[in-house]
Amino acid sequence: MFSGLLCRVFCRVSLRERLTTQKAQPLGWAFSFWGLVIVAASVLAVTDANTFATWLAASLLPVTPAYLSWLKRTIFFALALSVLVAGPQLLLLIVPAVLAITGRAYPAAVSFGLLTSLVLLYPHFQSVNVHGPLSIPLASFSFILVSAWVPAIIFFRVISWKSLIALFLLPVATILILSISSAHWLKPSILTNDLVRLILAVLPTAIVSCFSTLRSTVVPPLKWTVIPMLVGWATVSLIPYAPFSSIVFDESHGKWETVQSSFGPESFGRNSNYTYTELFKKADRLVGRSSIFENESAPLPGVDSLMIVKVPAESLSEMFESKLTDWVAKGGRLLVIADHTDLYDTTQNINSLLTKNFGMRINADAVYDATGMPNIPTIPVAGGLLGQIVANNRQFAWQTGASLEQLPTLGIELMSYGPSFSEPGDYSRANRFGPFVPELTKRYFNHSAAIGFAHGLGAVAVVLDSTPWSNFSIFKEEYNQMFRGLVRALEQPYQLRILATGAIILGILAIVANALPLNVTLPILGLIMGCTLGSGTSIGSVSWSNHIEGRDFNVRVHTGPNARLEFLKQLVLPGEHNYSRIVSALGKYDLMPIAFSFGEEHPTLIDSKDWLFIEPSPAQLPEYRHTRRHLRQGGNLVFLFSPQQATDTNVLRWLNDWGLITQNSIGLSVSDGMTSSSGSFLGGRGPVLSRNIRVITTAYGSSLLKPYEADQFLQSYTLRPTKLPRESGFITISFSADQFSDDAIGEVWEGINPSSLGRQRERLLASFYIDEERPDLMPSYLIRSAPRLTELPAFIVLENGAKKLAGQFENTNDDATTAYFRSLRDQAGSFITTHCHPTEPNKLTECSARLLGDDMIEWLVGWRSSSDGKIIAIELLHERRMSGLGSTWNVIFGK
Amino acid sequence: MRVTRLLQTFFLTIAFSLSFNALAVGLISQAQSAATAEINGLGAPDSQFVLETQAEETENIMLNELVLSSVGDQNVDEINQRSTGCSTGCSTGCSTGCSTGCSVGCSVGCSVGCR
Repeated sequence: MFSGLLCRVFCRVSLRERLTTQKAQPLGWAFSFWGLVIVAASVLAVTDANTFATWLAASLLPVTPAYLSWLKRTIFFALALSVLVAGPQLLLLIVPAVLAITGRAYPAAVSFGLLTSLVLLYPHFQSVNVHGPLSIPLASFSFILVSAWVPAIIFFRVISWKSLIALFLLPVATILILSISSAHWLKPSILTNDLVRLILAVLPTAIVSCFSTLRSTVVPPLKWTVIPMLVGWATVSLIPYAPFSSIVFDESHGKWETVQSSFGPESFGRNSNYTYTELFKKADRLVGRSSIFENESAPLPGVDSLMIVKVPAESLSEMFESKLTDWVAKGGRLLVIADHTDLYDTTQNINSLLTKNFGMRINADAVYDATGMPNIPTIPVAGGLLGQIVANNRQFAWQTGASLEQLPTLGIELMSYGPSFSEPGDYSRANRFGPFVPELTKRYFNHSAAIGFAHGLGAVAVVLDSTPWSNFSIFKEEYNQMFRGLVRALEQPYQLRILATGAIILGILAIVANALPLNVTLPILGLIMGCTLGSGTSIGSVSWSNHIEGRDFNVRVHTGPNARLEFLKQLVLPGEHNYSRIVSALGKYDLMPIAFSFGEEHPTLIDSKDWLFIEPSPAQLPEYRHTRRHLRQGGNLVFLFSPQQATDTNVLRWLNDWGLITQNSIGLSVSDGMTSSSGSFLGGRGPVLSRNIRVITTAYGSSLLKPYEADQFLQSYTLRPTKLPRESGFITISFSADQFSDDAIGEVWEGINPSSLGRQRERLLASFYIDEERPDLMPSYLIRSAPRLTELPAFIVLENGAKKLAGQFENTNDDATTAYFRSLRDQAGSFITTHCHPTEPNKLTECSARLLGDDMIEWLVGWRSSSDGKIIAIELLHERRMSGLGSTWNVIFGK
Repeated sequence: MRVTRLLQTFFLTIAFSLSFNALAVGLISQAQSAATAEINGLGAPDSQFVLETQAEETENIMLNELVLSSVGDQNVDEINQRSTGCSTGCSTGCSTGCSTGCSVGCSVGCSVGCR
């Protein structure tokens, strides 16, 4: 219908007429419109990741306003589909081909080189740090300029001078108008809108097409281009890799994201979670060896090693910088990990190395999307042709990274954030972040997130966000992919050089092609294009490879559509379940999880021995026969369903296949809950009696599954017949997934004093994979104590360090609040007597066990004794994530 | 006369350069210590016992003599990446008040209204 409409508008004939009779030739300006707009849209689609532009370019393909046979038109239609499925990068080859087929030889030749060159060199526009008279950074407008100027160069020989001048001046006028409008009606939400950007980008070419005709010329045979291209591609593909014998982590410039911290079952807090211990293990498994570089004076490793300089909080000496640069020039490979807003001075320290020695500079800023949130780009699979290392059509959730101020000449973009704002840091605030407010004065660009370039015989890659590889986040599939991708890219310094050099040569050749005979330029263009795409594919093909069990992961995690894996609680709505903490904690038990979000991949049981499904959709549930075979082979499966899924008929049917039925397990429970809408500890919270109703599974006697161990939350089964020693794996089913969510057990940012529940749940889930006895559901170190009179007559209550309440106990006339604290004092006194012996008189004794108050609030307990061992003061401390209170409370009892 | 002035200028210049240099070196070293302290602080507990921070020799702890400010604000604004409420620039106020909107709407509203 769309094709018919376009033909009727522009060709003044119906599609049927035009396709069935050669008399119905299109008008010249119709073809001009088509040609200019398809090129402009393609440019926008590949440089600005604009979805509307991709759709427009793809839609224009099958409606080419020229006489075409049915076969050709069907091929065009298939090409359009491939663009939509595989990505707009295919347009770099398709557009020149279509122009050639429609008899525009020179535009075809020029676009053949220029489009690819443009895409590879476009990231350099982010280095254009020019405002001039404009109120908006010029780089924010680069999409308008390239979308008009590139078609001008491509159609240079076949359109009039007036059209050319118009194509060069119209975008400039547009930019000036927009810049003036930024003080009035133009808002960030308008300029960042994909549809608006498409209109702004295509407008100059659409206007020019009204008074242009694209003259046709004789097209040389296709083989002049294709054969050299294939030769170039094959030649580059034969260049050998330079694999790594080891990965060395620099630990001589500060302990930020150290690889030396412990990350085990008893490791809690940000000094364990917010480090690279897991990355160190992954590196070891990936290349066979990982080690630590401890001080600058130590000799650098062999040039067959990868050195990782990660967010250096201490400066690098000039001598070391020079030594490192020479090492790279001799063939060493360097991976530099940077972060936002010069956090802990890391940007300054990295820039000192990169600017002087490699011509690259990082901004002290933070990058975020059009709404002020972290970027989540999706790189289509065809991006792998151009060296993109995560081109797998999956979302990549960046945390908050920096942008580039200056790219090296031979820099190749390996990853991007997608269209994003760059905001300088605010050093008046503790976290160095600015306000995260989209504003037009900040640069809005498809910013690079990782860059690679060759230097001498070696290569360097820089990644601009450090958080993805922290222990708490590395379980996500995309962050593993990024690590493998960067390692793979750095194993190919020659390909990096060819890709970057090829981009420059292609650009120059394409422009020169307008002035030279095609039989000279086409074979050269083909050869260079083949080399460029060959090297791009060598680097980017890692995007299409799979994670390997034992090397990249041990436990494969798949989440359903309602389960989230976020690190910022602001991204999770109340009522949603987030599971980052429990999944990341599997790493503490050497289980190296890898997690796929819903829709990224259909689980296939042969990919892994151990599986964790969190709130899986029925479509993700493995088939009966596959599950049976998996269990028979000793594989373990854990399914954490949400309570709501207990009524899902598809889930119930799947259980029934196994001879499992569901039933309620009901028990009384006491919780620390809200008793009034205020929700505060003082007056608004208290013990709440309720019934805890959980759905559990049980097996029919005829079921192939034999009950192994069960409680209210989890039921485990093995496969019959039972053998000793056990050969079957476990299948564990729960309808209490919520009890493993961050809301229940705490988030990844929890401090070194974890909630008892968090510690217990981490061990519980891990126990299914490590063949460890299942821990008690009630932690033994969380103790309730019957009140016992303790002679401390006064109390003080602090919330987040601020005094909220103070009082004296009067045995007869206590009000309800005072009575509450008297009871709490007596519980604490009893607890200390039985579970917490003093260390030294007059010093604080911190009890290792925790007190569980009558109202189900968890307390750390500390106390001081006199020289004769009597209690002289007690302090109860509730850290904000221990219970549901949300604040830190200190309750002190004394005189 | 001219020579004296020249000498004065020369010595003044040297004195200024040295003091600026010393100041710069001092600042750099201060910044490095601050960064190191912050990184090491990641291993510190989020909150503290008030009793831990008081003088040790006291036999009788009188609550009205305790230095309550010794625990600060118990790291209520603990900052790591965008963790506690800072993800959208909306600090503590937003993470509670804008719970539903934080992910989308608060990017503008919070940074202005909730800081």
